[in-house]
Parts: sequence; structure tokens; C-alpha cells
Amino acid sequence: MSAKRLQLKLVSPVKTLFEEDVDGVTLPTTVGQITVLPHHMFLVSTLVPGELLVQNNGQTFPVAVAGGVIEVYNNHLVVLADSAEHVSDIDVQAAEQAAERLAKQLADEAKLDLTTYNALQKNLEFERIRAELGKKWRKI
Amino acid sequence: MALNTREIKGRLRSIKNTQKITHTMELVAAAKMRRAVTGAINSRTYSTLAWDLVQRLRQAVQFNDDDPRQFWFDQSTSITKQPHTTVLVFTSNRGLCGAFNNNVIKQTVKFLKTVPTEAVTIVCVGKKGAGTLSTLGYTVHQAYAKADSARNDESIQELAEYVYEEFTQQRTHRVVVAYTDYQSSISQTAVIRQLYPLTSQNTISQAVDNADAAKPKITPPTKHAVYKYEPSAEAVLEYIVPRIAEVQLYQALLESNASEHSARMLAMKSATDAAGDMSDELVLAFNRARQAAITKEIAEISAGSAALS
Repeated sequence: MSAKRLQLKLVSPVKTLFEEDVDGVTLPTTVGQITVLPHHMFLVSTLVPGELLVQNNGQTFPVAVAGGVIEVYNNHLVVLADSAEHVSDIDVQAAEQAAERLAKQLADEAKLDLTTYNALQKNLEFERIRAELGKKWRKI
Repeated sequence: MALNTREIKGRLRSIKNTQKITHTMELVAAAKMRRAVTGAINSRTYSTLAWDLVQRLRQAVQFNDDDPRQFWFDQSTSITKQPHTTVLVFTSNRGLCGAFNNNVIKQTVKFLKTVPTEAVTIVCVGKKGAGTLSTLGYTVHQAYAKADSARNDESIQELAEYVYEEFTQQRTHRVVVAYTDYQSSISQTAVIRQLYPLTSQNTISQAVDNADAAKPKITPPTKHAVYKYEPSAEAVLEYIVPRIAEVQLYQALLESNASEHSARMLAMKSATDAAGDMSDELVLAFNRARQAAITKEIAEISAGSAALS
């Protein structure tokens, strides 16, 4: 009998990125990086922008996430990402340009109200992560 | 007579040109509609899963009486002496889409008559709604540009944050959305649905048909499952509630876009058909005029030669 596997469901509002059984997932949560393996305890946590690694059959699939919520129960892992992208799909140049543009927007307008500022900050963080991950995984 | 045929020819040409334009617009609208529908279906998985999670979290969190966050769900306590309502109206930016905008406006006006004018904030998304509502004598408090082909929920972020702030600060006690529900490419209905406080009934995410494909196939955990919350259940809830609202608004936008494009597609199709009918008639009229001119010329020539001989 094969060992139990983790049923992963990784969705963003735009699309479903993963819906399959995997060996384990490493996630960037608010309280630090965690790895969820089969038989993990029931858990609800929030994500921060960063790198999400899906381990399956000895292979690693990197995904860039922009924060979100995760729920673990009964060998299920549900990741509700605010925005997510397979690293192989990332257009590094576009991400860098977007990050530059957002940084400029943040620097230019000191009078931004708090909500806009936070939104911009969050988008900027995600663009930076995207660019960084895109570069990191392309080399290998 | 020669003038008449030339006139008809000119009209015929301009009608044929218009027909080409309307036909192209029809094809473009069809493509855009398909994209919006796919987007709406894709985002439904997220909102269903998020909603399930919130339902579970809600039981784990107990808010104090003075905590404004309790109003997220509670319907009864949120109704104060004079409840304030915010109405979000989704219309198109451009015309040429049949009765699409009128239907939304009609629904909105019907709703606005049921609430006192001073306790209402109207927020418009899309140019047409703001224009029409202010002509009708309503004050539009905010107007946002609508993303015609929204690729992700960033396009609605600003609006979602504004609404969330208003609601959390209790400046408004109820938020409803007026948009067009896309049922199929030939049938769309303008509807009003509640966004805040969050309800499980009649939400935007339930709107689209063929939802079965997007329904999560996983079994929900048992009721008494004990979760560990990191950092805390409140923090998770605080994170996800605005996200749910944002995704619902995003879906409303996509549905509205899909409906708009299919309304435009239909309008353009009938315009193309009408242009076809018109040009057929004009071709007949042209042939008749040409023949009449020829007959007249022959009559003149033969009359002239008869006079000479």
C-alpha cells in the first residue's frame, strides 16, 4: 500500500493552478516558512508574498504567490492565493518593469491614502518576488 | 435620372461599409464575451472555497459587542435606526449594446425608490451609469472607470477597498451591487445582490449557471475538527473577508462584461442583418432606376429620329 498523499488545491481568483495529489508543499506563511506533508495537523494560516514549492515525485514545482490563506485538513491542502503564477510562466522583464513603475508611484505620491498605499506596497512586493523567482529558477 | 442612380449607389456603398463595421464589432464582442465567461467560471472555485472557509472560521471567532467586525455577518444587529446603504452600479463604458444599460438602471432606480434618498450612496462603475443616473436626478457620489477586459482582480481592487473601509467604519450598513447576471449568450438579467453583510443566500458567486464544473470535489472536514490558527482566527478572518468581497466584485465585473459583450453582439448582429435587408432593397431600387433611365434615353432617341425622318 502506498503512503498517503496530500491532496493539493491551489487556486487564485484568476485560475486554478494545482488540483492533484502531491508529496508535500512548502509555503511562506506569516509566522515563517512551513512545509505541509501528509498527515499534517489541521491548520489555518495566512501567506505572505513569496515562493511556494510543490514537491511531487521527486520534482519541485516553484510557484510565486502574493499572499493568501491556507487550510489544512484530512490530508487536504487548500491554498487560496491572492495572486499566483507558475515560475516558468513568469516574464522577468515585465515583472521588473512593473516593480519599477510601482516603486515610482509609491515614491512620487507621498499624499497617497493608506489603503492605496498598502495595495501598491503589496503589488510591489509581489512583482519583486516574481522577478526574483523568475531569475532564480531560470538559471537551473 | 442619372443623378438618381448615383445617389442610390452612394447610399448603397455607405450601408455596405457600415455593415462591415457592425459585423466586425459583432465578432470582437463574441471573442470578448468568451474571455469574460471563462474568467467568471475560473474565479468561482476560489470564491466557493473561500466562502466555505469563512463559514468554519466564523464559528471559531467570538467578537465583542463593540467590535465593528461583528457586522460582517450579522444581519439583525447591523440595522441601526437609520441604516445607510451603498449601491454599486455596474454599467458599460460605451453604448451600442442594446438595452443593456437601461436594464441595470431600471433595476437600480426601482431599488433606490425603496430606500430614503439621504441614506444612500451611489457608486458607479462604467461611464454610462454615472451619466444616466445623474440625468435622472440622482446624485452619484463616486464613479470608477470600468476595465473592459479585466484580466485579474486588480482592476477592482480600489473599489473593493473603498467599500470595505466604508463598511468596516460603519459609515454604511449595507452594500448592494446592481449588475447584469449572465445566464447564457442570449439571456441576461439585471439583478441587485447584497455584498455586505456577507450572506450565504443569493450571493454573486452563485449567480452563474453550470457551476457544477467549478464546484470543489473535496469533502469538507467534520464539524468538530479542531484547527490550529496561525497567527489567530481573527487575523485570518480579517484577511479573508475583504478578499471574498473583492472576488465577488470581480465576478460581478466579469458577469457584467460578459453580458455587455453579448448584448452588443446581439445588437450588432441585428444591425448587420438590417443593413443586409436595406442594401437588398436598394439594389432593386438601383436596378429599377437604371432601367428607367435607359428606357427614357431610348424613348428620347427614337422620338428624335422619328422627328427627323
